[in-house]
Amino acid sequence: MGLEIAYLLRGTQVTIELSLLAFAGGGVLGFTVALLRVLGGSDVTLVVKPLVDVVRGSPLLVQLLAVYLGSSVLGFSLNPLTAAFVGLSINAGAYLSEIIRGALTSVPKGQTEAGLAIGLSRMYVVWGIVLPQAFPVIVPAAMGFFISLVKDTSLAYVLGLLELTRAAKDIVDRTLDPFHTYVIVMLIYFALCYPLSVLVRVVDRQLQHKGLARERL
Amino acid sequence: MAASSEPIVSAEQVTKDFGSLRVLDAVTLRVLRGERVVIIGPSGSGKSTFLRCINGLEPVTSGRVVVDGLEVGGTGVQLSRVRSAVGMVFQLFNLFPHKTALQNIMLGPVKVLGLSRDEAKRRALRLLERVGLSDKADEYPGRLSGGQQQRVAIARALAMSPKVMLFDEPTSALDPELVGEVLEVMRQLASEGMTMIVVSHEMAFAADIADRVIVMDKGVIVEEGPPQTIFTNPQTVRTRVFLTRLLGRSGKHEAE
Amino acid sequence: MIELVIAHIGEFFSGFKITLVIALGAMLGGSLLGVLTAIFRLSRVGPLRMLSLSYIELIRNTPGLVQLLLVYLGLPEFGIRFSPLGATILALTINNGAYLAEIFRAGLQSVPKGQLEAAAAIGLPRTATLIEVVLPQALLAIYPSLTNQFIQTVLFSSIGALIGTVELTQVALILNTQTYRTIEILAALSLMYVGISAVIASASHRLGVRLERRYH
Ligand SMILES: Nc1ncnc2c1ncn2[C@@H]1O[C@H](COP(=O)(O)OP(=O)(O)OP(=O)(O)O)[C@@H](O)[C@H]1O
Ligand SMILES: [Mg+2]
Repeated sequence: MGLEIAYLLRGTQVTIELSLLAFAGGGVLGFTVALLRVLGGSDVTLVVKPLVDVVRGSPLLVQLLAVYLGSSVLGFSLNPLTAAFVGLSINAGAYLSEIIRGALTSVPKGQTEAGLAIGLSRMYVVWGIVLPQAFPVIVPAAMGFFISLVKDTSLAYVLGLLELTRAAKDIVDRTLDPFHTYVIVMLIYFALCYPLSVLVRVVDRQLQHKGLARERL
Repeated sequence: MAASSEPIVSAEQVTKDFGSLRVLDAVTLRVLRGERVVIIGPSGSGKSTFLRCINGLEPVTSGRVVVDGLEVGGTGVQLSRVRSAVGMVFQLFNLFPHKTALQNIMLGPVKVLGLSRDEAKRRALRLLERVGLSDKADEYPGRLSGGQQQRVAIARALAMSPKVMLFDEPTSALDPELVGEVLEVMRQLASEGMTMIVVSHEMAFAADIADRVIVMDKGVIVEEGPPQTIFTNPQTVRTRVFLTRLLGRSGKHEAE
Repeated sequence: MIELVIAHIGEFFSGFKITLVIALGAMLGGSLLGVLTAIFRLSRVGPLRMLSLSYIELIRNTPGLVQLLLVYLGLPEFGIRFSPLGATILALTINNGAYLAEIFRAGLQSVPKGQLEAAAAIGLPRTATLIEVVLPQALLAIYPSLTNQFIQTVLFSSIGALIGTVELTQVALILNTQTYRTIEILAALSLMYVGISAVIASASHRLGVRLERRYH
């Protein structure tokens, strides 16, 4: 029993690491895409939007398989961890870009116009004026997305990556007691995600109290 | 005029608290069958709360309300019976936006009174005709003007064959040019002998239809009497102050 | 790619049907569960509130895949056995119910208080008020969220493949082991899901425009 718990905890560690890595990767990607779309105008959107739509319109599972199997077909076999990182980052990037873009466009146009009117560059207006105002919308939504990401890492199971869900499967194969194993695994995920859910609610309320949330802008 | 001596609504010593705020303070009012009572008073004086206590939308803190021999309060069937005996028309109409005018009116008769759909429909069409909206039977509320919506709302309340009609500022959310059509329907209702309790600041209308005007302030009735007396010779300072404030603005609609 | 899909159109189509069965089943079952949970969540009865809240939080804070494995592999320990398809539908129903409960709750709370008062004023009983007045308006308010949830459910139904449900993704994976044309197959598969998502989104959009025009 003790051995099995240790094994699950090792899996938990991988789950956490993968979540953080993919959130960072997805964050960079999402920001870049959102800024490109907001700054770049219609021709950028013409190229980028379909890509985002394809990622958001197809299952993460298929994307993970595509990265993992696809890379080996193309002759540069990614290991499971890298493939999971890449697949999850792409997926997260698409969703986060929509969160960020939505928040940016929710800031009243007058703010941009006022910035441009006093001669600031477009880049600066988005970066220095619009983004800070969009932040109270982005932060809770992105945190909420991080929770989804933690849960989504369980799909890396299919690549054979030894994260929490895979660790559970190994144990089940050995002990033939799936019920208790998966209940424990559920509780571990719950222990990771639930505090975050509570935190999101608190942050959301705090920001709304400060009058910074979208409804008040 | 048509009033008999038998009270159909009697509110005895009605007190209502919201937390530590006393909104109604031992209000007593008896309304006779066929009588028309208009309630006026400054904002926050408890007029709406009082009406809502009469049909049980708001439970009273103490005191009692009896409508047509039925005690208001209790739950379930009893409350449902009282409510269908009391028609209520709201300031913001509160029509059901996903139902047509006809369906809005039919809902109560079908679901509460147990009428057949055919019967309810005939009744609804008659009522629509009565409020002058026969051509709008199949229109959704979102496509009606405020005045038309309020007339449908009146028809919806009438469909329950109520013993009393309560109106809570039925025209105050309307554009000035739409006020007249709603008041006209209410006038007609009054002339047919309906018992009515109306919260309204349309002074000319009140003077015209009211048997009695009630002035409320800070949760109590400060003065009551026939409209001539209240409007031309108010006894209390509070009523005088309130009326002078009001006169400036209400003459506008009625002058049209 | 196209010739590959055409050559195996029958398999893809039957996979598509299973995907649809899973998603529709999970939406329907999940909606029933979700409405009930939302009503409990807003109820005045403490234990009902606790029950619904526990269910919502437990499901929303754990991976659907683990829930699926628990249903498919864990329940047989108690003699409760499901086919892969049955387990997939059941697990996704339970999963969906928790998300839909929060959507329905938001919908119920979006109905203005005046609507309840108007219903009360004509003496409409509670159940009739819920069915005739509240639910239709709540549905109208949340139907964009419902659409989104439906799309997410279609996409998520792909995890059925991991326990051997022969839905769309599994069809593609089987085909992959036969032909090894991995990239083409996965690209085609992605596009099929994108197509399904797009059809759902546009149908919902059109319905929205119609409803908007009808009521306003
Ligand atoms: N549900 C409630 N909870 C707490 N306070 C309330 C509630 N409803 C009304 N009040 C308070 O009760 C007082 C009387 O309100 P009411 O709506 O009855 O006044 P009114 O005379 O109808 O005013 P108006 O002319 O503005 O409609 C107000 O101070 C109001 O804030
Ligand atoms: Mg009022």
